[in-house]
Amino acid sequence: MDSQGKYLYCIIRCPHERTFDSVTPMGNMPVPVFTVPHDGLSLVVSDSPVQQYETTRAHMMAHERVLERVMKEHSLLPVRFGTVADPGVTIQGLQKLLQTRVQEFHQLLADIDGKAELGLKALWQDEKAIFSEVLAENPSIRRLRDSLAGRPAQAVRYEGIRLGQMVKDALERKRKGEAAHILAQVQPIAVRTRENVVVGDRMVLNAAFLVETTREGEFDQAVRRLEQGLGQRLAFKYVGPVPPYNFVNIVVNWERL
Amino acid sequence: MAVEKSMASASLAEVVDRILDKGVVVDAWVRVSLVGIEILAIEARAVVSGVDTFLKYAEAVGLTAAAA
Repeated sequence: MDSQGKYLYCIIRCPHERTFDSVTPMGNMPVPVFTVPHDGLSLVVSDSPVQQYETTRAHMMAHERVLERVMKEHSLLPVRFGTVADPGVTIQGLQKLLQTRVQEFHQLLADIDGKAELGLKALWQDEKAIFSEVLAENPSIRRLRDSLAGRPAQAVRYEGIRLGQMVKDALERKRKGEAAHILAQVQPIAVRTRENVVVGDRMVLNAAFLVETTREGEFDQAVRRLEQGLGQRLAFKYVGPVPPYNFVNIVVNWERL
Repeated sequence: MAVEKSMASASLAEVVDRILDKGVVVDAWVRVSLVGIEILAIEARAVVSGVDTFLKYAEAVGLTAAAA
């Protein structure tokens, strides 16, 4: 099996060798997902050919499902998708990876202990209605639009661009206002919050929260209240607990180990 | 509750949002081929930076210029 590398899923606190059952590893092969322990920590890995895993649904879901399986029993530091140690890296080499950052990994795991990452996205239900509001709330946009109406497209090109910029800015202000309103209801319950980039014109909020598991029910309630109050206007997408990707960002430089 | 709380693996979009550009990075090991993703990102930027985007917003508030 010399040509086999090791696919890395996550780092956990586990002092011994073990396998994780009821889960299919990357590559859909009949091989175990197992730990490589060192100094109280473990890498969770499976044998894998050294290859660039394409970002297909099957590959990404396989990666995610292994993490969700491990998460049932352990706090974990998730490793970025597609990380494969080449066959030249021995078990001792993998242990060295843990060894060099052992304190930092222990500290990060302690930070995550007893907490869950939750994800909340909010999207405007009706884009057209939002543009109508932008018009209603911004007389200057309305006036400029009316002054351009019916004129030849070439003649109003530059002013049309200016109008579009004004609309875009107004939409962004509106988005930020509504995002702040939503965040005000849930952020106080979280230990940490991370706002990610919104995608498309409908998305108002794309945020991740690190929440004490003892307060997860309280967070659920807050999201429920948001939905009850704003559900006509906003669609909410709520996930969790998810692997804490939004609160673990570190680079280990293998070549300098 | 009307808003359903689900595992990330219930939605590919939720998974993509997390596993590709966050988490522990081990430098110099084989990683994801981002070719497809980069193309998507470039297309997104091209759209965002384009004049057409602003004209799209202008149209969204009902600017209807006469055909040239």
